[in-house]
Amino acid sequence: MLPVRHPPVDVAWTLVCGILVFVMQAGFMCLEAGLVRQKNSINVAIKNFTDFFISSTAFFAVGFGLMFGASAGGFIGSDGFFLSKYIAQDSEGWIFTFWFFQDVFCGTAATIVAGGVAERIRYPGYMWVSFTVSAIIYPIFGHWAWGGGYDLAPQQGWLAAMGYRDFAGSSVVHMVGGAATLACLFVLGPRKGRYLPDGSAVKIWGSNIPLATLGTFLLWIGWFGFNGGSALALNQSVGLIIVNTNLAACTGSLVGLCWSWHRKGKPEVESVLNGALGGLVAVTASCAYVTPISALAIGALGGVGVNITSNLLTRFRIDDAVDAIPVHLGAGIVGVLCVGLFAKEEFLVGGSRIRQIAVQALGMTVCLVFTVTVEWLLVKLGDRYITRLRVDPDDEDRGLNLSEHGARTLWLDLAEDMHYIERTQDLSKRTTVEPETEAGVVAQMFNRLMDTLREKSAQLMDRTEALNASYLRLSEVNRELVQQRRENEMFVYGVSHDLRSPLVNMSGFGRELTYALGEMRTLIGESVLPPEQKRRGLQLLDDDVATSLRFIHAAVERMGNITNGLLRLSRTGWVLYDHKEVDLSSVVRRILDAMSITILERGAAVRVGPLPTLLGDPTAIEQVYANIIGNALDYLDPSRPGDVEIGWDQEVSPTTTEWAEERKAFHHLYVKDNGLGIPETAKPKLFQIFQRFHPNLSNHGSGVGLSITRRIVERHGGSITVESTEGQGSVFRIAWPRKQKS
Amino acid sequence: MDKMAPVTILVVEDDEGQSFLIEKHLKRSGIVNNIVHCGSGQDAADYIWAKGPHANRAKNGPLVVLLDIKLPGMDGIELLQRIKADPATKNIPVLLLTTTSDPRDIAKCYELGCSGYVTKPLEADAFSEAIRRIGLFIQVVSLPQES
Repeated sequence: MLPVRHPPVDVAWTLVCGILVFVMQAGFMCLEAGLVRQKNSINVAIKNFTDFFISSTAFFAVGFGLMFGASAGGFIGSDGFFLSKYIAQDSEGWIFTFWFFQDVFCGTAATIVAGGVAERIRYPGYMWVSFTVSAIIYPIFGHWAWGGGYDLAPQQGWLAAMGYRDFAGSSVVHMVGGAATLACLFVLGPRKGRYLPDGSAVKIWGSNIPLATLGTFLLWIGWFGFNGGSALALNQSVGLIIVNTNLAACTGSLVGLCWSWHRKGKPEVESVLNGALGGLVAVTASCAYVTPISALAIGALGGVGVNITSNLLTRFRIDDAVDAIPVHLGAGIVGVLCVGLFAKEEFLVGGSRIRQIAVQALGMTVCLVFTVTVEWLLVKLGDRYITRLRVDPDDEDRGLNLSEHGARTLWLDLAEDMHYIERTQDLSKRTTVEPETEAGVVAQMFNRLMDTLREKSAQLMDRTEALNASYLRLSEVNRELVQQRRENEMFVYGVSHDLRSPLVNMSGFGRELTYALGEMRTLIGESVLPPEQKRRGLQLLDDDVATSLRFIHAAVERMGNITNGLLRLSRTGWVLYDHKEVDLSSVVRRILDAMSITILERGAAVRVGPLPTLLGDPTAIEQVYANIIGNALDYLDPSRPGDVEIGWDQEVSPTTTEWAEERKAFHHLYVKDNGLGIPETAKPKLFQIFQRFHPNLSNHGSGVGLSITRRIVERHGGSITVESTEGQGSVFRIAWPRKQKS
Repeated sequence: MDKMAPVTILVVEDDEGQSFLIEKHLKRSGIVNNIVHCGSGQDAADYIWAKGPHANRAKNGPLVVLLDIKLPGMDGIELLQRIKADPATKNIPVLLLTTTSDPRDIAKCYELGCSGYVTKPLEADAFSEAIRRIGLFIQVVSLPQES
């Protein structure tokens, strides 16, 4: 049968549309490169470029023949390879126009896969995938749906024979592309870091959304050719086709917009773009068969299909880098089914809508199953025997621009250098500076910053070293001081001990002299000396001898007190303490009982508040309180009724938080009196040894009481202070640690 | 009352003054016993075991020792140890009479088996009273015979 004659305007229209479809290659490239990360963008772009020339060649050699050659039982074309047969037959050259148009369609199906598998597929691996899609999958299904011999031999593809309708290729091109992508993803697996162990998806941000938008525009433009040119003639239907195409794109975009707005609170750009594309894909099957109103519906349904499929993919942890599967497979399925739902009656097979829907469903299922299964097999085999499909994890991290093509991106390199420095914390490393570039300028700034950082860091190290050295010295000095103090105490202890023996002698013989004096007095009194001599003798004894003895005696007593005091004080430095729980209330009660006579004598009122249980040496604690309470009573003002309060500050007064914590570690005790108070000049020396400030009072006592008290308190890890106003009274405050350090 | 052998009091004290005072106060308290003074630990040991310069001392009956800790050469604690270590002498009552009141020394002496520990008071009256009481104690106490 001779080919139908094609008027020049049809040829022109078909060729121009074919060129528009070729523009879709650019569209896909822009879309995909914009939706992936910068480090892979070059790789994605070149994949899009590559799949076209591979698919074209394959389609010329093998594909066209399989698709449009004389049908062998409705399953596969059997001739027309390299177009040789048709070229020979064709006198008007329509074969070339037709082939070109079909070729760009094949290229579209192939290039769909590039997006979905992006960012993890090896370039040679992708070349194999392109080949399989364009040489095997696309032509075979295409034959079933559209085939039947280029020259319209009586045998059609079996699906076509059943009345299956796909006007411009929702299934032939888009479902095939989408399903092939799915098959590849089963083999490849998701990108690193895309899915967390709990199944939630991590959003991987595209590097250039405006580029992706440009891509979508280009696709939309190209689609006019895609659908319009499928009429293969410039006839009445073309206007309708183009209008339907446009309307579906619009409602698809709207659905994408609303869906994203509702789900995420803001309209995500990717969602809007994919919505448009989904609408376009859906209407592709039916654009010549439906009314514009139906086209609106079909576009919207396509958008819905995109979103549902996208959710399903996430649920099943399938990682489609650009949502190619939702757009092409998901909306494609919708598109195929919509033919049955919306096509005008004249296009229905056997005039029955039910039958048409059934055939559409069948065709859709066959497409899906066939493509996924066969492509999966081919890809699996290819991965095993021809070339590895997936990149190394390290290459995936570094980016495919670099790993597949050795293409450097200066900014990425800079970022990687900085990341390296951060990771290794090696302050001596610097980034490479590419002169005369923006990245180079930043790299240089960064390097200067690193120089400064390194310098400052070194300075800091020095200071820390110096500080450490100071600290060590300080610790050393501290140790020496403690040692020194201990030695001093031992010395004082030793000396005071040694002084006791001579004191015993002095005291003892002083007493002997006194006895002797008494005897002498008696002797003289009873003697027979002349009265004047007797008187003189007695006077000598009483005035000179007795007086001298009295003073010597007093001095010896004073020495005794001093040595006793020194002894007691030095002993508090090293005497071993018991660590017990001491009920302070009962200790104070005991002390007050012992001092009850003094209290009565002075007519003092002593008030005791609630007191805590202290941890420490019971004897030492009693010493402390006996000393302080004793002092309070001793130094009361005789001119007014004495009042002594012994208490416990349970509320920590509001101070800054850092001190509050410190304060909480101690019990805060006090002894208050309204006595004579302490003069200002005396305060700094109050706890020092042998200081007494009211010489008229208390000749007893050795002047070591407060020194001992302080030493005891310090040895328990506490502190003692005094507040006092002369003439009004004093408060002694003791901070006693709640926990004893061992 | 049985006629007991008269007790000899051995005062081991290196300070002459205190030695003098002790004897004075003992006599004042009514002691008529024989009082022997030794100025060092070695001298006292010689007396107790009848060695050296005291080799030919008379057996004077039971012994009571008033011992100071601070002695030249052998100190009081060592002498106490020796006395208590020898079965022949370990029953001799030893009273420590010393200026020091270090609780460690007190504990050690009792551990070694002293019969008492008296810290010499600084105060003259208290001192004489303490010696007087020691004297009274010696008068009433029964002592083992010297072997």
